[in-house]
This record gives sequence, structure tokens and C-alpha cells, in this order.
Amino acid sequence: MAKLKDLAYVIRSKNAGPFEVTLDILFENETIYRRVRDTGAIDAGLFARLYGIPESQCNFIAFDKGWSFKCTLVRPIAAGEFEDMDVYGCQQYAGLLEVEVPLEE
Amino acid sequence: MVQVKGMQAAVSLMHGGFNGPNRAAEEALDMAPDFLAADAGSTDAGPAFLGGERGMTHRGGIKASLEYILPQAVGRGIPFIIGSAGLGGNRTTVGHFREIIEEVAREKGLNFRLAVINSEQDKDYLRERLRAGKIKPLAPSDPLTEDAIDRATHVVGMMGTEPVEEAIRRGADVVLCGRISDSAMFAAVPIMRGVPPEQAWHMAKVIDHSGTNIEPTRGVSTHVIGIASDDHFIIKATDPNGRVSAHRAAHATTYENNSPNYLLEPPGMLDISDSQYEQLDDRTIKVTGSRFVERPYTIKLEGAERIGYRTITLGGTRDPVLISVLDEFLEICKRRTIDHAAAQGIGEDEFKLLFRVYGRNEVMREWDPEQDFVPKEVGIVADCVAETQETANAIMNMCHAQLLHYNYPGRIHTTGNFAFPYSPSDIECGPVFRFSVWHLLEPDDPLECCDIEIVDL
Repeated sequence: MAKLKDLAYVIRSKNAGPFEVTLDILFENETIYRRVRDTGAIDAGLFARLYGIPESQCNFIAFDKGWSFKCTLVRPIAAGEFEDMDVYGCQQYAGLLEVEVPLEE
Repeated sequence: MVQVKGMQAAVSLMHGGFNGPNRAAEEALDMAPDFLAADAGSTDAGPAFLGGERGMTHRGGIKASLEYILPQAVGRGIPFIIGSAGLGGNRTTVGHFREIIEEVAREKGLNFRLAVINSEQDKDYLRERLRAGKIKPLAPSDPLTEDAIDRATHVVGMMGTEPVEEAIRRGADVVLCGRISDSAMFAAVPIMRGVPPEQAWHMAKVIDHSGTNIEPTRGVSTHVIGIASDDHFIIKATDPNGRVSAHRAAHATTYENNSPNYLLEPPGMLDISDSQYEQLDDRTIKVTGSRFVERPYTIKLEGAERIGYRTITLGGTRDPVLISVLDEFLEICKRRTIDHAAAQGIGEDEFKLLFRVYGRNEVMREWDPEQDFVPKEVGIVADCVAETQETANAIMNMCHAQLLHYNYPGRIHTTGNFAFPYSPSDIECGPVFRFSVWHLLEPDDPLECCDIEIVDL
């Protein structure tokens, strides 16, 4: 098993407008990306489990051309609302770092 | 074959403003770009800079940037476009930028033609468009109402390329824009000179995000220049030792965007699902295969309304007893603050109060996969938003007294419950806003949502 944080070169979150957060996992080269993708470990179901939301609310895409995965979630609270805690949506990726991918590394 | 070269201006109008001369970018001006553009806006930093009367970046930081770049752009005769002035790009913050530009021109003895393009929306116009069924919600917003229009302190329309093209046709050397699509400020000159929209818009997007996504080589300070053509565009590191890589350019379209393949712009949809990124050499890539699908013209409306005024208090504790009863403790403090306020004639409906507990799932809350652990130390923010600043201050004054002194069961000390880092402990934060308009407007003419003023300096 290998951890996602050791396989990816960027793991990030950011607002996609004030009402959505988009999570990106980017890889340095196509070989690693394809190996990770082919394990099937990174999919909408993973985001649903990690973030505790229905899979139907995880807008997931494996973006082959950019060697990356992207998942966009609707924010429970819009950016800048009274109860909001992350105006930029830039600190919502931490749960992804420890994700185990069934690969030898 | 048409060929248009463009790049980001070598200054920051955000992120604290000017951060010193950028020699790499300065040298890159020798590559004779056809335009320079600097993005000064975003919704990222929240609704305050759209709804309020001040931009995000301090005046001196903007002025130093403009003192550096204006003589270079004007001196070389390169059109310089500033987009979304002040961050939200409302009329007030565009005015601040205009004032600074005029001041710099005066002090440096620069003569040029300035276009000031405002895209603050007139409320009567918005009501007319709404009644005509020409304003639609942008998911996940609800349909717009006339009430929401009335309540908004500012509503701006995200412009396309047309107003910038018009300003340059009228001879503007410097174009100061209110809210404009990030890509439009980079696509305008290519489009007006005949570059097809798919090349212009895609190149614009890559240049706009070059800082984050192309990641110039470690140790080499480089910029990128985009060269748009009929059937492709080129992205090149301006420094001979700079690097631009194909897959990182592909990443540019993923950043802050919910789809890596489709980007909605005012005149239509950029479709890059079949774009090909070819590495020509270490510093150069070539992109082909992008498409642009025209759609009915739309202007994205962004608006904000004031929800009140904020006062906060910060504190911390590492007392294990308090940490073990923290939720109940905070609930009681809130209750007692509400009762205390009522005794002074401040109703519960006049304010909102919440506690943020740092060190214990405040950053991700229910999205955090790790929920059950006992922290050793926590920081708290008591956060009040009330109808007036005076009320927010009063509530926080009563609240901090509860936080500091409430005698919870099991308390071992007899002094204060929280380490307050500041004196005074309460911090007045001023007006607070929320995004209240996030819709698409269909104009009859792309130019009807803005006004262009030409000033000769």
C-alpha cells in the first residue's frame, strides 16, 4: 500500500465560486497517474466516504489529459457566510493525504 | 496568419501589492507582447470586497505596482489592462484605482489615454431584466428576487472581451476594468485582432493561471508569454532557462473550476476536452484542438448584501478539565450572554453568536474524517454579528466576561478560563457581507452592462 500524499505532487482544495469547493489530486507523470487510476481506489465513492456525503453529490472526474483527479462538492455553507470557516475553501483536502492506494511504492 | 502575443504584467495588484521589481518579466517585455494584463480580482477572499467600500489590497501596494509598471507599458506603447479592480470590482474600488492611476500619471509625468470601464449594475436595469425573464440562477443559487436586488450593496456584471475591445478601439492605452472575466482581460486583444475564440480564450486561461499551474523552474524567475494564432497557441517561458510543461498547462483549467474540460465565458463555452498539449522544447508548449461553442451571450452577476457588523474575541486554553466539558461550557456561556443582553434591552434576534474551537475540527468540521480525539490545547474565537457595530461590541463585551469567568463544574483555578492574547480582548471587525446574487443575465448587447469613460491624462 502507498499513501496518496506520497504518490501525488499536488493535493489541494479551492473554491470554485462561493458555493462549491473543488478538490484536485495532480500527478507528476502519466505512469504514476495511470497506475493509481487503474487501481480504482480514487473514485466518487472514496470522496463520499471521506467527506460523509452521498456519492451522488460528489462530482468526480478522472482527467486523463491533466494526469489528475478532480472532485467538486457543494459547500455546506457558502464562502463568507456567518458560519463559514474556510472563506477560500483551501483547507479541505487534509483527509485525502492518508488515503491508502493498493500499490507498491 | 494572425499572431498575438500577450502576458501578465509583472506586478501584483493583489496579495499585498508590489513585491519588488521583476527583472525577468521586465526583460520579457523585449519579446514585444501586444498587450499586458493584470488581474486584480476574484471572489475568493469572500463577499466583503464586493459588498463593501474598500478593496483588499492596501493603497500603497497598488500604487507601488502601478509606479513600476505604468511607465514601462506606456513607454513601450503596449496596451495595459487591469481587471476587476479592488477584488470585487465594484464602482467604489474602481474609483480608488482610478485615483491612484491619475496620481501616478501626474507624479511621473506620464501622458496616456485611460479608459475606465465600470460594470456595477444599475438596479432599475436589473429589475427590468428580471421581469423580462432574462436573469437566471447559476447553480446552486435560487431564482433572483427584487428584494435581493434592493438589499444588495453592490451588484457587478462579469464582463466579456467586448468592453475592452471597444476601449482600445477608442484609443485607450490603459484600460481599468471593474468586474471582468479573468480570461477576458487576456482574450480581448487577441480576439479584436482576429484570433479565433477557441485559441484566445484557452490561451487566456493558461496565462491567467500560469503562476500557479505552469510552475516555472525552481531557482529561475520566469514569466510566460502566450502567442495566439489561427489554429493553435504557444506558451513559452520568457527566461531561456525557464520551463513550461504540457501537463501543467493542462492543469491550468482545473484550478478553481468545477470542470477541467468546459469553461463558461460570456459569449459561450470553451471546450478543451480534446485539446492536445505538445512539448516543443523545455520552455515551450503548443496547444491545439480546443473548441469554442457560441451560446446566447450571458453576463454573470455577482452581488453581496450586508448582514451586520462583527466583533470577535480570541482566547485559548490547555486546561484538560475545561477541554473535557467545553461544549457544555460554551453552550452555557452563550445562554448567559443572551440573558445578560436581554437584561440590557438587546433582543436575541438582534445578533448572532457562535464559537469556533480551533484544535478540534474547526477547519473541516463534519468533512474531517477524524472526529473523536481529545486535544491538548484549543483556541477559541467568539464571533458575533449584530445589526449595529455598537450591539456587536456590547454582546462581545458580555460574552468575553462569561468566557473568562463562568465557574464551570470541576474548575480547579479561581482566576480566568482563557488566555486572551490581546488587550483589549475584543476586536471590532466592521461590516460583514454575504454573497446574495450569483446569477446569469442575458443582455441585448454585451456593452449595455457597462459604461466606458475615456480620460486623457
